[in-house]
Amino acid sequence: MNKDNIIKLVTFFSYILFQVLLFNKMVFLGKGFAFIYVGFLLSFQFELGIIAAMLIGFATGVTVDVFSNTLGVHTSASVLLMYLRPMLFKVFTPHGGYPLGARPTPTLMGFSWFSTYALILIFLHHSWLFIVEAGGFHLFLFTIQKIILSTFFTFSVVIITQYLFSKKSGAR
Amino acid sequence: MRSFLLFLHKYRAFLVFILLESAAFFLVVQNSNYNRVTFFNSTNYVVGSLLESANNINNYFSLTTTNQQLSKENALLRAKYLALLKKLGEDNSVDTISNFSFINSKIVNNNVYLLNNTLTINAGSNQGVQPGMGVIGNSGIVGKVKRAGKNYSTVVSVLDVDVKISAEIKNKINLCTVQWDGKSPEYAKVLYVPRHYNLAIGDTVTTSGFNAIYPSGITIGIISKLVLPEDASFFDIQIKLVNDFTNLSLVEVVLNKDLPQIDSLTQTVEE
Repeated sequence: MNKDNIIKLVTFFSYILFQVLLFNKMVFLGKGFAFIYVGFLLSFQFELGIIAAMLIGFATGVTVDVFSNTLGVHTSASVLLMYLRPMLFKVFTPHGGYPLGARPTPTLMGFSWFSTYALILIFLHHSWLFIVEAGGFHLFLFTIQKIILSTFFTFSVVIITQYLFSKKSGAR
Repeated sequence: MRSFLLFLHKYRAFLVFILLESAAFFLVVQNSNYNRVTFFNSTNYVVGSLLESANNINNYFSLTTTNQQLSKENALLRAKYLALLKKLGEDNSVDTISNFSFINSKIVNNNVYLLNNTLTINAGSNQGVQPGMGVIGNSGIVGKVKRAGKNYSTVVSVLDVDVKISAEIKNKINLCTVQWDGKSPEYAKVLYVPRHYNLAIGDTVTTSGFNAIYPSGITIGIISKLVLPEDASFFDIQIKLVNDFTNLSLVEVVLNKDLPQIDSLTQTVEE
């Protein structure tokens, strides 16, 4: 196991711990949730293969689900996020492509690029998650409110963690 | 054959996606089953003890509230006890609640803002907890045991949109249904109360005697909003739950000694 993988593993556990012990208890107005583990999934390097990415999404989702007794809900949303991620990269390719081995961070790609990327994926992830949780489209208005509030809550926390913890270059 | 393999290769990402999503949905369905002890939930030892140690820290911050709740409950119980003594005189042989006993436990994890909320408590099959038992808090009902691990159990909270509770409105109606609407953890709804009843805001809603899970007469909530639409045949009733679910810490699991007998009778009837 090389240094990179160890760092990834430590990051994984710290995201999970913060998610289940702290952010699961912080709910804004009863509707806004912060699923900060999404930040972990968003920050994998550009070249990560789509199948490996989905497996990582699955593992992360299951871990969060086990702690919140919502088995399958976070799992399916995370797999969807990891499936859609490479497609978004394709759409938003900057001039000259992506730097080799780099990870999508606001410091490397710029704030506007990163926030578009993060907002779209967080929104899709949360929509999927809350619709699966509600078991369909009843309670629709309530679900929509949850999706919108949570998207902004998660997004703010993800942006803050990115600026606090990601390295200047974004490359590793 | 070759073109089939090429097809598989071309769409492998999508196929893996479908596979993983199916697995996830399988888990969602699996999770809604009662009684099935699976590894992947908070009755698991590792998960349970991690949540418990985090909760131990949290508990220090709510000690004052917990103390107040307990002393309030003490006062209430003492008042009830004295009233009972007076009623019975010196003859204490009548003991209506004797077929119920209680197992103390502490909540180690609790969520209230999902649609299917669960609690994790630190008592399991080693302490005598079995799936299907009722759980009550210091002022009213809390939920029903879903799974019992060795030392931890998960409890389906009253705050679950799929849970219906057999209830009665004190001195007025002896059978109605309480269900949560998924919105605020403080309020729930009472369903199927026909319009000819004479209800008032402030009436107490308690558990009915028509179930084997909770003792009858345990408070659920107080009517806080009462609407009777012109063309509806039922009241639209909102109750304020007596338990503050956002700040619960101690609960009791209800052990009904008659439960096995009642269960076997019901089963015989069903067959």
